[in-house]
Amino acid sequence: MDRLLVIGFGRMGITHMSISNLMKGDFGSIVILETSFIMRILIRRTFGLEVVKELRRKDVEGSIVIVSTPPFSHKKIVSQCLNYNPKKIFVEKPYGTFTDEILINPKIFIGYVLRKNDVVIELKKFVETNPIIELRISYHTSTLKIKPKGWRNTEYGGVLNELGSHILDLISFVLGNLKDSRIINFQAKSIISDVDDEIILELDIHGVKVLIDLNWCKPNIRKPIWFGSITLKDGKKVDFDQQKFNGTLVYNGADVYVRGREFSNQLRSLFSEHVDLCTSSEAEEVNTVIKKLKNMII
Amino acid sequence: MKVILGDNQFFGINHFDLSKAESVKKQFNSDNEIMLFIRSSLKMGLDGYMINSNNSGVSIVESLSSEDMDTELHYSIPYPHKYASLVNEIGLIGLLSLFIKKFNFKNIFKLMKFFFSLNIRYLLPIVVELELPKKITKNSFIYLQNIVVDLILGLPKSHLFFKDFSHYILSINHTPGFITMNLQKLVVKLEKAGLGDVPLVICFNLNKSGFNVFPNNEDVIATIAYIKAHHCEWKLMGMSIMASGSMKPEESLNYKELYGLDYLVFGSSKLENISTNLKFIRDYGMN
Repeated sequence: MDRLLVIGFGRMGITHMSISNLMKGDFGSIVILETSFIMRILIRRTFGLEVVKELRRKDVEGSIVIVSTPPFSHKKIVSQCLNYNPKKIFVEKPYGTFTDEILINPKIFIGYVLRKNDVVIELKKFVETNPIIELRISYHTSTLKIKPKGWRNTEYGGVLNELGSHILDLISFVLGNLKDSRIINFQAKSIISDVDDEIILELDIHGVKVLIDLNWCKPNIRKPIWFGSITLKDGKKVDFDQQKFNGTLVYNGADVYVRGREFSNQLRSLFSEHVDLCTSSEAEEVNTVIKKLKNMII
Repeated sequence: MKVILGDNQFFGINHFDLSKAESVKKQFNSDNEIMLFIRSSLKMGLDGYMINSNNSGVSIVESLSSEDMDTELHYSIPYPHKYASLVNEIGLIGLLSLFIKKFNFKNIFKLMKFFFSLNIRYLLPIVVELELPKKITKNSFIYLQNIVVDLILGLPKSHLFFKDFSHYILSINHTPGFITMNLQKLVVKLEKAGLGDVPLVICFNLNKSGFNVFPNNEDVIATIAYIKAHHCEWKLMGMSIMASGSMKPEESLNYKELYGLDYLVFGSSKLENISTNLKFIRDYGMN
């Protein structure tokens, strides 16, 4: 029986824990690591879960570890976990952005969840057999309404890290990789926070023109939306969004639904023998592009 | 079977067409527009309306409750995106502090129970009270939204949340309801909570094409049959019955599994569609 260790019990930690338990209710043990004293007491008293304040070898060894903490903490946590021989480590995205270097290891997988979106899978299949010359993608949310507090208002936050990392990984997944990508045009703007809230980006990836538009201060949007188009070599254009590809609803189901089918399918893959999630070396490619862009903002 | 007006069209929700959601939202750009639409729909013969506890929902319920007492109100709480934004902005502890700051002094004993136990579920009545409009009609149906139900469904002891929620809602003379995408798994928890004989409503996705039906139509239909055999106090409500607009209405409503339910909820931005769909449901249900 697999054992589960969840590090960080914020919104994503709770989501992953809930999906894991709903999908696979036979864990040998479930342990939560939470550094906040108040949260430890609340979790223990409310859910009766075993909660610890620091990493222990016995909780990591042979376990599936889910790391749902801010990116600046990833390197230290993942490094400690690897010393204790975990079965697998799943790290919430973006993986350690802005640490000097991230740890690359085949046991590490990153939560770039759009890889498990049915439309993205369809898009990838289509692009593999139909060469394209242009890919446009927009990601808009109403996440920020007031200036955020804490790390979200520092260089570790910003729309490029939070949404852009997802989109860059999506592009990497669809086009093969981000190696040799060239930045053609880049504009970053603050709207509410002190860091980047709106990004306009043009990349050249292996001869494909990639146009990205990110904005997380769109007050009229109820929930996050992404949409875009591809242009084929013959000039034909195909539209897509998070539900539809070329006007057709793409839907492949899931065992359980908590936050979206892709979140369930992501963890289904993590618990399987052959995990097909974003690897740490693929995540490093995303980080490399983000670092280049962030340096341009500074 | 009763037919209820859904509220997705009022708030820019269209799971099939995101751009259409935005344009429809503009059609309902004031609470008055929404109220007029609800009133017209009810006049066509709908049995009630469902609305969420966002800012518009609160004022609409308060305005309508005095005039439309015969109408069934199905009110869902909380407004999830408000809390998701707050968690992003102030964190989980910050959110907890906000609830405590906003509490009504008459809830002092409930708050003390929370402080002595440090168990979050004792805050549930305080949170529910914050979400309910002051002038809500008695004997309404108060639903816990799927974003909450399904999130805590996988956590240990979640059945105690469902139990406390149900008992609190019953104590204030309303009927508890649960919106879920995971019908089978919720039933297990409700039984574990000892709610097998308690009057409640479960609202879940069911449509002919299986769009957003989890894990699949076959299992959901089997669970419906199980509930009917074992929990006669429970009412069942089908939502997303037209697969969020991905199927033609006459095609999606021509699905016999829908007609064994106690309620169907659907929305549309056009009154003529509501009238046509309602007629189809009534005619089909008679056969």
